[in-house]
Amino acid sequence: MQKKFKAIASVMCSCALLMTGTVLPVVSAEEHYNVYNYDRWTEATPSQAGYEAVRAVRGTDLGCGEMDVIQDIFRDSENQFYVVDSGNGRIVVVDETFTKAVKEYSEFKDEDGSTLTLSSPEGVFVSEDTGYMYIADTGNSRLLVTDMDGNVVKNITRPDSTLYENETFKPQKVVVDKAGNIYSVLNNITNGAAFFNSDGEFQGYYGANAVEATAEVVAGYFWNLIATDEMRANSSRNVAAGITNFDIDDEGFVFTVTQSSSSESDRVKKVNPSGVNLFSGLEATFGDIASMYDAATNQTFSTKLVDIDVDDIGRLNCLDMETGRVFQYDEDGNLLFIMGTRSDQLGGFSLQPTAVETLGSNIYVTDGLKDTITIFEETDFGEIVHEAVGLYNDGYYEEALEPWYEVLRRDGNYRAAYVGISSALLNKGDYEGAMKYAELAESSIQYNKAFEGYRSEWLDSHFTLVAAVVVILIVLYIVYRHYKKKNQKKQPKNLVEMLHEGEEE
Amino acid sequence: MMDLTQKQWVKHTVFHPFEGFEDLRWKKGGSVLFASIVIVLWFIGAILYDNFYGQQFMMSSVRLFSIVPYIVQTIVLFLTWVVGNWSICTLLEGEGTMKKIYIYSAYALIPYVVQLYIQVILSHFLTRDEAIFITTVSVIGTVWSVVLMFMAIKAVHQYSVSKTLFAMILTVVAMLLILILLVLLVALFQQVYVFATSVYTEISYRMKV
Repeated sequence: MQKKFKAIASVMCSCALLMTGTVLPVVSAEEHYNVYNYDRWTEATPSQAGYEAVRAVRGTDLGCGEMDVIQDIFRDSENQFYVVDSGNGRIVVVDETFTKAVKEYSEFKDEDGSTLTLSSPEGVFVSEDTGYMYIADTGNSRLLVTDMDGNVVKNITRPDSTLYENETFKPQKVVVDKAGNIYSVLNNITNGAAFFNSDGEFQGYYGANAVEATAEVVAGYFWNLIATDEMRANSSRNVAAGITNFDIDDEGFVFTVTQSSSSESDRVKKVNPSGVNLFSGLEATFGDIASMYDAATNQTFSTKLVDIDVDDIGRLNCLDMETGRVFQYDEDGNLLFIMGTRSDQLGGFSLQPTAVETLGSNIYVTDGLKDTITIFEETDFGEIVHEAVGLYNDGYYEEALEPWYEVLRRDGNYRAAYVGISSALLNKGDYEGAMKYAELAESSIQYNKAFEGYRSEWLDSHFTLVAAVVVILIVLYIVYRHYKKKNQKKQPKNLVEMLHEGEEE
Repeated sequence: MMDLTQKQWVKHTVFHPFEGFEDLRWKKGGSVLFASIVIVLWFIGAILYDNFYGQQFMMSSVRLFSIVPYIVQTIVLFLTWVVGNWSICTLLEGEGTMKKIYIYSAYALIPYVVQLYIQVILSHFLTRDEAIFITTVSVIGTVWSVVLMFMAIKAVHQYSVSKTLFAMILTVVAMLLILILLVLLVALFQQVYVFATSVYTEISYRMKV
């Protein structure tokens, strides 16, 4: 209980600091929705906005005509944006500042000289290493590999392989690793992403999800052991949800998202080249922790992630279709910020936000119904948090101390700041301070580290006292025993002690 | 022979697991007061364990402290054990009275209760690397109590080893039954209460009109 009061008191103190106005340039973004973050007890608490929607760009603003169902956005190594205008069957290239369309791809020259057009494409990727553009031409059931002048280099259609069992071939998203291997998310395939080598030959699947062992699944397994063939034929199969979207970082790790409201374990995965999920041991829940009920529309919202983006620093941005929110995590899966909502205003999205992309600290979110690209910029608060988290994750704890204090001055509920300050104080040798902040962060592991230091320091400085107390206690005990024995000799013995003495003799 | 005070009897039973309770029964020792003290100490220890454990091991995330769960987990649990054991062993030709079962079982719990306090105290001086000491204390205390409990039930009813085991298993079943009935009873009384209050509210509204 006392702990709680302390926490509340510290929050109040930081609020008081804020109010008395200690020369702080308090700039907080006024978003039209409730900005929140999750606290230690995984409850949503109001928070400062880390991002602010600054503008929403339409096709007409870029000078390329209205877009129709934007499905994907990709930024290449030269900071040009590739927007997939699915309804118009084109890829629009937009400049770095997002003010005008630089180029437009709608027709491609095949190797035999004929012209190929796109039919509702859903994904695009431009590889720095191969210099090609990869387009998931979903409507035409093919993957196009083209050079930057629009000449088709490869045309990958349904693989003629025994490994590939599906009738249809509907590539939706595509990424390419440094070696030129192509990964593609296919519609209605639950085995994972299709994996092609750089020659476009089908190699198998990559990054499949596992069936979560829920009570229903386990019960079904045992039921199947005793069921007849007929009963088995009528029962439904348990199939893991197929992955929805993915992104690849500079080191070749593929980050997948799965749009399944029932399965939480595979919602976001970090898959290494051999197909192992490195996030499997993570305790974090990606997206909203509990589904949210909106009384006004009588609807329940639960997270359905549709896209993920890894920025240059390794931060993850996950787009939730259901609520129109972008969840930003650091490289270890710690929640940084939540932005966006479902609404008509700037910073809100329709029922169908489709993709998220980053450039520096900016976040770009496309909307498939509004046909806009919304640009979020970091606020002052966001900048400070990012600075602190960056320093902290790189191990510069002491350098991160000042930014963390600044974070707390602006938002006393930001838990990572307490952990950060505790780590910094620990590095400095201020064990008591580290213990205090670990307690405020309710981080037992952190407290343990601080306590260890505190204890050894205390023992060093109080060694004579400890030694003296121990000696005195031992002496007292011996005197007590002696005195007791003397007294007992005068009294008649009881049976038990007589028996024991008999044994000794 | 063996004219021990009540305090000495406590010590004797705890440190002589194999004949202590037989001696206690033979000399008709044991006091309800001491047994009750043990149970109250258990109750306090359980609260300390959850709320005042060293923070390097466990951050208590209790936001709203409620004493009811602790009462249920210690005192109610113990009383159910006593009642359940008495009901079973009366049918199984056990010789123990309710009072004796209460006293003997409580005495058997002493190592477990002591172990709770030692854990809480040690947890404020040790770090996670040294958690093995706390685990050791905890295991010794618990195992000791289990042995004592077994010998206590065996002595109080004058059973053989196998019959004691059988009776203890049945006791657990009986405890479950008692708890289920209790929950049902509470639910029923709640219904009656709700009914009564709604009748009262209804009438009071009519009276006003």
